[in-house]
Amino acid sequence: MSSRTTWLLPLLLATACSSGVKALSARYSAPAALAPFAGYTTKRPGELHRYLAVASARSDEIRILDPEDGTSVASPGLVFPLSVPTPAPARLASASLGDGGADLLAVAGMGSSTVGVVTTWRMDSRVSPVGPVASPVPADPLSLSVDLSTDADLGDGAVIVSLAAMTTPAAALPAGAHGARVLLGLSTRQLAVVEYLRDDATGGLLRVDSGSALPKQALGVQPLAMAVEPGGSRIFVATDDPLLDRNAAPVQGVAQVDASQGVAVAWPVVGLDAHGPTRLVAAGFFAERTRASSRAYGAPQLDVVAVLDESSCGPDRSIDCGLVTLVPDQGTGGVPPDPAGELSFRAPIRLASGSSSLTGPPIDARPVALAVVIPRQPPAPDLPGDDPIPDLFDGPPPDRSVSPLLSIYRTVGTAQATAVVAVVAADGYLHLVDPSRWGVVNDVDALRGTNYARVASVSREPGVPPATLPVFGVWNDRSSGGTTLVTALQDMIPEIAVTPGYTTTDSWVVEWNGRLPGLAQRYGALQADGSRFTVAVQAADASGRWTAAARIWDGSLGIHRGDLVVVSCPDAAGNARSFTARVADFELPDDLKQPPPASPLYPGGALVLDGDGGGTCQEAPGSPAMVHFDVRAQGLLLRGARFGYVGRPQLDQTFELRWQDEAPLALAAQGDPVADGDAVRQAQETLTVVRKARRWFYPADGPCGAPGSATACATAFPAGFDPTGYDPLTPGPVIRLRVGVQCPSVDPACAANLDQHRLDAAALGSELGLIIGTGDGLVPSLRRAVLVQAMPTAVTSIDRSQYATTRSLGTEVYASFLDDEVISFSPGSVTTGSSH
Amino acid sequence: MTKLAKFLAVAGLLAGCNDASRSAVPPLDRFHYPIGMALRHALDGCTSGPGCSTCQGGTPGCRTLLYVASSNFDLSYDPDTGGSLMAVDPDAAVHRQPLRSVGPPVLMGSFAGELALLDEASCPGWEDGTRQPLALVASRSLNLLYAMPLASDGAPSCGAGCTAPLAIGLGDPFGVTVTCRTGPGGAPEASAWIAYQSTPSATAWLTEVPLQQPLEPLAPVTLGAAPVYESVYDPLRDRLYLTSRFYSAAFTPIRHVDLGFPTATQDPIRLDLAVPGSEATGIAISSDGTRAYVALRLYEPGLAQFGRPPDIGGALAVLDLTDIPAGGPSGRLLRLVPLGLGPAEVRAVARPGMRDLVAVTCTAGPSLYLYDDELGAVARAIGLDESTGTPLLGRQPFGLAVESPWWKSAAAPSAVRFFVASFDQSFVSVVELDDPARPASADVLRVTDPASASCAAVCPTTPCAGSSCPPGCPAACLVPMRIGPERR
Repeated sequence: MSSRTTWLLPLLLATACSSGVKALSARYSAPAALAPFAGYTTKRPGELHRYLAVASARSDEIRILDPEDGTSVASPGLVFPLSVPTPAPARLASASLGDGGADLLAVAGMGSSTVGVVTTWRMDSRVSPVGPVASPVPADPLSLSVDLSTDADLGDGAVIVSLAAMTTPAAALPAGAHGARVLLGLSTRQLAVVEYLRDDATGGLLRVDSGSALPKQALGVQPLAMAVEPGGSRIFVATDDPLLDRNAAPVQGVAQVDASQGVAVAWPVVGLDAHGPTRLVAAGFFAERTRASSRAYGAPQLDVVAVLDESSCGPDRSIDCGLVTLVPDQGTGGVPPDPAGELSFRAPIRLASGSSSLTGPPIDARPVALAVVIPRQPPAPDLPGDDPIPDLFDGPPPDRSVSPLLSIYRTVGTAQATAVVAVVAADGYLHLVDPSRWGVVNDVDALRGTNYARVASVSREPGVPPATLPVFGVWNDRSSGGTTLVTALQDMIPEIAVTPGYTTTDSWVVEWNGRLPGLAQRYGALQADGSRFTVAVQAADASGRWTAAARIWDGSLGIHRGDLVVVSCPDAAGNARSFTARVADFELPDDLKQPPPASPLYPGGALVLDGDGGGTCQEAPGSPAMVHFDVRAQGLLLRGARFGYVGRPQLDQTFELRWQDEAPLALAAQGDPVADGDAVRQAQETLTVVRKARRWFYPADGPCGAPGSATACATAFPAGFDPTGYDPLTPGPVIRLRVGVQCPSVDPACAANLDQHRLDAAALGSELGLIIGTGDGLVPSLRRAVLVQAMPTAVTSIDRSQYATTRSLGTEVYASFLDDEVISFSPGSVTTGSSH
Repeated sequence: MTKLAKFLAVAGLLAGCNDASRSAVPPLDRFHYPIGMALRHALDGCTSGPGCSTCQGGTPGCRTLLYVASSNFDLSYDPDTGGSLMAVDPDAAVHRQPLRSVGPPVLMGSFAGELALLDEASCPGWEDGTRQPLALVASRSLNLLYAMPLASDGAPSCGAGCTAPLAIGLGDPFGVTVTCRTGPGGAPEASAWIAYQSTPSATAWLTEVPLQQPLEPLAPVTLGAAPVYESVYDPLRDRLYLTSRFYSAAFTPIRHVDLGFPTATQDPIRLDLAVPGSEATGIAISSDGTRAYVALRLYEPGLAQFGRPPDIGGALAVLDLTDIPAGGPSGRLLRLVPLGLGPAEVRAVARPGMRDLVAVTCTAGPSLYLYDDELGAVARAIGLDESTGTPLLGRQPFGLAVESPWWKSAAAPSAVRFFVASFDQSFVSVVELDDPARPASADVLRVTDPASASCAAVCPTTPCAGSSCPPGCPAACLVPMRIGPERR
């Protein structure tokens, strides 16, 4: 092979490997925002066309993509894509003027006080110059952009926190006029409104004269994000500030602003209760499944989907993080009731991070942006695609002309819904959420198939137990009414109950004298305190001031009286020694004592030990010994690799990890620790555990049929052994089992000697217990940047059936990523396209 | 190709690879690739004692001193003495003119790292008349810590016992953090904690250097995988928080070390789980100790199999530092705010009754971002000059020092000044903010263009910023004030 052939061949190969990038590269640079708009460009002279504006933040410009053919609008030189220069664009918003003409398209830069307006009605596509806020407006008809720092009310200190645009309601317009508004959520807890009217003479925009200051509406809350009611005049504002609902009751969530009137009138604001502060919001119409069936739907209704602020939600708060759905037109407009009848409100839709570890607590993906994805509008029953699939509905399929459908690709088969929500998150993924089924789109079936919620495995601790040691098993409560203790590993699987929607993917360990999570090999101080010995996770500095590295008194750690404390310390000769004592009592942390001690001794509290086991260490009154210690349960302990401590099964008694009402527990956990320390600690422990047993998701599956039927569940769930009619929304335990012990022949009464047997097992490098693997039956439907896992920044959707050449196509989702990429896909397809 | 041509090509290559270093002395009237910066105050006429360095900048008699460590990054000067630490009075600096340092600058080894100060402000009780304030900075090439005493006028010096060799086998000691704890009898005990970026098997190591004479570093301690980039001290919890350099896409730890338990292994905050493809650089702790502000350089984690991929973005992560009962911070990700490329240094500014204002430099932006934690949003980004397209703060803004509160005037008694060093152009810019509750009004300090006679006629003779500049002075007449000449 000649040298020329040597380099020509790879070149040809490389050419062949082209991914089909269109002739003109889009040249995005850190795309930060997306907005569809109707306008004119040089690509299609004289044709009002719907484009996608892409804020290319790092290159200080907007690029314009034509969704019909997937190419960018070219610059006059044709070699490069068109650049609409604007400094560091970070936010885009668009709105129709309601007259079928070019849209209003607004842009704002990060940390900038300027709001630009793109000349969508002209083919030169530029950001119009900044005009003064003050009248006369506009001195230059094209000076439509606004610099807030010239506003007489605001000066140079206001920050644009959020940006949106809306069609001006007819009631707020002169007769026959058409207009649109740019809505600026300001750090002053106001909404500044820039109003534009169609200039019938030019087809362009005119900015409405507002005097020396823009009209502002008092919100009273920080407008972190805004969404406009589709086809309506309400604005929904995500905020972390407190609100008042329609009954003047204090709530936290989303502010609903009625913007149907002119700006001279104060727009009414009411709070929608999301059960926590919010920071992102979207609004759309969804037809929700019914309680009885996941395949029958009610009438479409306006839902507001909000992302809870992570500072006030989570496993240690009264509500989990995720997305909540608010129904503004029902009751006070808050989160609807739990369809399963368990909680007082519908559980948030949790987004499990695509990067979660199986050995740590579940990590929720942090949403970056969200968009409602709707089917083609208006409905076009004559077009193929997104046709109702009769098998997916109980009863007659919905009328497409009333409730058009969106097909959703799933690994195990297509689903259909009236709309979905696309959420891009910091885990690098786009998560598809199906609010009509109250959860994320599940790529598998949670009750059937091969990935259903289940006990996947049972095993023992490492090491083969000798015949002289007892063996743990579970009673056959589920198969034969609890008559026999099952110890064969595979046979134990059906005897352990799990519940779809509650059971998580985890590795559970039930162990005799099990180690309490977070309390292994802790470094701390062993002290002789009067006649007692105490141990605490604390150390003193050179001045003798104690610092605690754990609040060991806290009930959430799960320590009980009688638990074993295994202390390792050097003796007087410096040799390593260890001794075991039991927890006899608890010492309050100094800050909880009344009055606080003059000389703080236990900043995080302490464990009071029984006996005088401390005699082997160097401690003496006033001279504590620094030790390492473990805390082990006095009996059985159940912990999860992801969820940590969850409770203490008792031998031969049924144990359930199950949610219960948190409110009384939360109240009791706030009780008086001095007067009722045990009750407070117990409430703290129970509250921590039951929060781990909250509903994880609502299965989107339909009820199970009789065994052997096509709709039978893959296994029996706790509602009963006979799964006929099993309702997948049934509340149930995360895990339920009854542990028993089979004694060796050398010790037929081994139950009384399990502590010693555990030490025997430890001498062999093992523990006495079982390891139970569970699966949750949930595989979230995720999309991401092509080939890589870059950080997403924005998401939107466009109906491609509006274009002449793509009429048969439905809605396409567009998401931008920091690797200078915009991906696009149809929810009904597995294929993802990309432009750079 | 002839043999001669081949010979010449090889000879040319070898000549190009010559690394013979120069032994020139660095200039002492300018910065040269400034890296670490820190601020302190000195009360006129005060020679020693607790009140000498705790006055408010801008008030009568209270002088602001800006300490700048120059790194000799291009090795233009002697590798062993080509770096410098210089103290300047920013209020006495003249636009783009050679600097008049406070006392002679101290020469030091090249590749300086972070700069930390130990004085009454950072360690109450330290300046009791028996101990001098210190400037602490390491030479990353000499593996040497400098603890330079500061005279009453603020001038640094480095005599006998001012340096301490750092751990053998560990290199590139970039991070220097001062901790201040209560010692026997209530007297303060201070230490410098040195973090290394070049370590065996890319592990994390810290060396504690008790700040007493003689300077004797303690044995370094290891914390596991991923070298430490930078640390910050939380005096409320007596705890260090540490960011890590890139180790793998599957492990991006934010560690903490409880100083009472320095050898105890702590579970780190795993940023890789919440923000895959992130490498933490600068870190600051909120004034109430409940939040960490961490600068993140973002890359594509899917491409990190064989090394660190190039940056694709930047962000500021806000982490919850509230302790959980089992100990350590919760680490919950509260905010993730997009920034420009190359976020570097982070500083938090306390605001009464409000969450902190956070300043972040971005080297590839180039920008200074002011993130308002009360809003959860960037309130101000200072990047390019819209009229000229040039970076307002110079190329590669990295070093950052904050003066807060700074008495600007009776109308702005609690103003803030941000000093930003352009690494590539080697000057320092000043950003002023009259009211920290209104960070959007922050602006670069400007001077009347000295090259324009017409401007001088209508514009102020003293520097101004934002709305304090007279409206009659055309914006084109005002150019950003630069402390020190620009490196060309």
